[in-house]
Amino acid sequence: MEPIVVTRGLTKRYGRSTALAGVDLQLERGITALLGPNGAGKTTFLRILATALAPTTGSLRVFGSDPADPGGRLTIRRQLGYVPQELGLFDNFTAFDFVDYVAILKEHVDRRARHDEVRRVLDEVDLSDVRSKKIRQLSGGMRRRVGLAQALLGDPALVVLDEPTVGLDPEQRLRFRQVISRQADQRCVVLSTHMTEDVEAMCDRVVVLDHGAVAFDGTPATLAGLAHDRVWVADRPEPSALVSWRTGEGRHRMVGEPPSDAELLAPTVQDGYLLLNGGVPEGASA
Amino acid sequence: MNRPRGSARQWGVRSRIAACSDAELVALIADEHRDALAELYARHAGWLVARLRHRCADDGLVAEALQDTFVAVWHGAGRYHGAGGVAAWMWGISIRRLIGLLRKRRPEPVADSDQPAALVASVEELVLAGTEHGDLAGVLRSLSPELRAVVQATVLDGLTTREAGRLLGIPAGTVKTRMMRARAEMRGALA
Amino acid sequence: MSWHVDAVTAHRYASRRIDPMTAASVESHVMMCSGCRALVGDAVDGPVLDAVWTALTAQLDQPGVGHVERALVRVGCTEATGRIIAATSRARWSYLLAVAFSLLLAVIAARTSYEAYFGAFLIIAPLGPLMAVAVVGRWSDPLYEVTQTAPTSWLRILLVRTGAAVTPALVLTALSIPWLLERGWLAAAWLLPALALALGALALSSWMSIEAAAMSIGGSWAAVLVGLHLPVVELLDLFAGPLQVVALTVVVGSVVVTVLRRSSYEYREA
Repeated sequence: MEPIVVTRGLTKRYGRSTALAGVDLQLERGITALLGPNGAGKTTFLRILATALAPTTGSLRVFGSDPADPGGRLTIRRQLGYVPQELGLFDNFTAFDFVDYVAILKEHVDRRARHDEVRRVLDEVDLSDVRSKKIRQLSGGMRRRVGLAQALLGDPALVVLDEPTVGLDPEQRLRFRQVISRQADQRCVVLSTHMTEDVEAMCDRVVVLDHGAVAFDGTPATLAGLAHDRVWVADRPEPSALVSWRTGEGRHRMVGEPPSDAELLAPTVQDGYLLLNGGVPEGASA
Repeated sequence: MNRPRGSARQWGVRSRIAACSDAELVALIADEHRDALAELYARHAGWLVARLRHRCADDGLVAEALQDTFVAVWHGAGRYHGAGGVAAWMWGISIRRLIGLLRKRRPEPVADSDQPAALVASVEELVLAGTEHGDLAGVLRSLSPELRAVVQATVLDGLTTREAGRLLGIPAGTVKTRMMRARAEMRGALA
Repeated sequence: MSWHVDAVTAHRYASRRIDPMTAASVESHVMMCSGCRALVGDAVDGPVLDAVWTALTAQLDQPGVGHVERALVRVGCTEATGRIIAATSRARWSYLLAVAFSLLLAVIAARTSYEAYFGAFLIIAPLGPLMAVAVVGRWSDPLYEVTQTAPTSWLRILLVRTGAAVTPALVLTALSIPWLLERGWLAAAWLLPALALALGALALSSWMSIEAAAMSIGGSWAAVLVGLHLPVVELLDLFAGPLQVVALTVVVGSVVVTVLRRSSYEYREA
């Protein structure tokens, strides 16, 4: 099957600083997570994917179309859902009116069909009940779901989400995960996150970006597998461990080079990610 | 979108809403919860339509009145104070919406004095007496159809004589005189 | 409660094949009994209830259309155009500010007999519409990135909003002309420069953000005219002739640039 997104040697420079240093990726259906510390180029990559930004060099094809070409760009944008990192909402609109406005921008001309579609996406993110409320009355988690609803208009084949779970409490995050994973069967969802739990919970694939380059590309299980035989517990902290912390039972969980008689544990995605980064990366422990 | 029939998702507000009392639904509607409106519709739209159809033969007008009723409930739920129960409140809105639509259709009967409260109250007492007798039907049967219609509009539907006149297409004065005749006949039937 | 409505009675009631006396009993009972309400309700034909529910949903979901949008649609705008203008209410306040600013200047100019103030008015008045243009981009649209990546052309949105920003600013500032009539047609000499600055900023924004474009254009305008240190009489001469020609050239040039570079509005380098 033809991949939905293909990038070759994608770079982006702002003046003298390099945000992306040559990214080659192929993305298919399912949920792909971008993991990486702040400044690794996640947002830049997602903005380029969403055609909000042109790359400096390299090529990008989405559904086989080139966003640099006006016709190709339109083809992409008609099948794209995008939630930027800082999505502003019109606070004095109702949830319905807001999504309806975006639907107008997305060329849903016929009013009746458009309203049906708006109701459908709001139902999809479980906001049917509060669709008549003003956005300013909604909780943080609901506002995020309003943002997601607009990205689902027109059943897009590519959905780009920049840090969709940041700032949500555990229950809201769970809710959000359920909604996102419902979308995964029919489309390509690309999201960035700091949270390895999100990756473990719902992603088919994880791409770790570091300094604008791909540092890892595989399944969450493979990423966790990097820490195979490298995670252990002991009664005393080991100075040789890369990271260690005291567990609830009063023992010490460590990642690094275990002693030969160590009591090994099954690794998590976070362990693999820690090893990949050679320590505690900024923002990865949230 | 399909008409709601109870809870559809295993989580979320819908299952909670199905367990709400009518009054709780109205409170949720006042807080702009659409699922609560859907539940209220599922519970009340049916019998309201059935009853409205006994007041007006035009099904199109009845449908319109039903829609207007729920629009009014949506915007006016905050004004519900619990007196008389949700069903009675909604019926009051429906029948007045229907009358409003009827008034647009046909010219208003000659206007005259309104609401002889004592008269309605005394007929109401008689109807209640009939209900307690367990023989409301018998009491009403004693009335001629046009008197029965007047008693039904004023006592059962709780309309003023002016509103009853509009519903039945007769002047309010006529409603009043028919009420007096109905009272006399019902007294006789209960004696 | 001893008596309840049975299914047959409910059906006969719902289909109006029932004697009035039983009907009255059903009605008075149903007000007190939710079970019998449901029974009677179920006897009503479902499609009617479905149809009313659909119509009701559509009615309640009708977006709250403001005065601005309604007026725009009435004068022939499409629903989309009306909504695009109406959605950015934050920008609307800025237009009004810009307008108030221009009006204030006009009144000051009218109330004063000093030539120097009139000169200052001519320099500052065109900045009003420019300010209005400066806010139609990112600043006034919290949804900027989504708007930009929607299939609807960003240039079209920009033009629609610029029009909506500049038109009231121009119209209202023009209302101050009667107070300035003693100046003759020179009272309107700022109009073409105002248009030139606004369109120039729009053209320049194909290379940079519209805020930066407006800032550099407005800055250059003020710097050049103030920097020339012209005596007021010469400044008025400048406005009376050469500047109008320059402004017209800029207007035409800006339109050409905007059309030629239309693709850069849609796909940004930064």
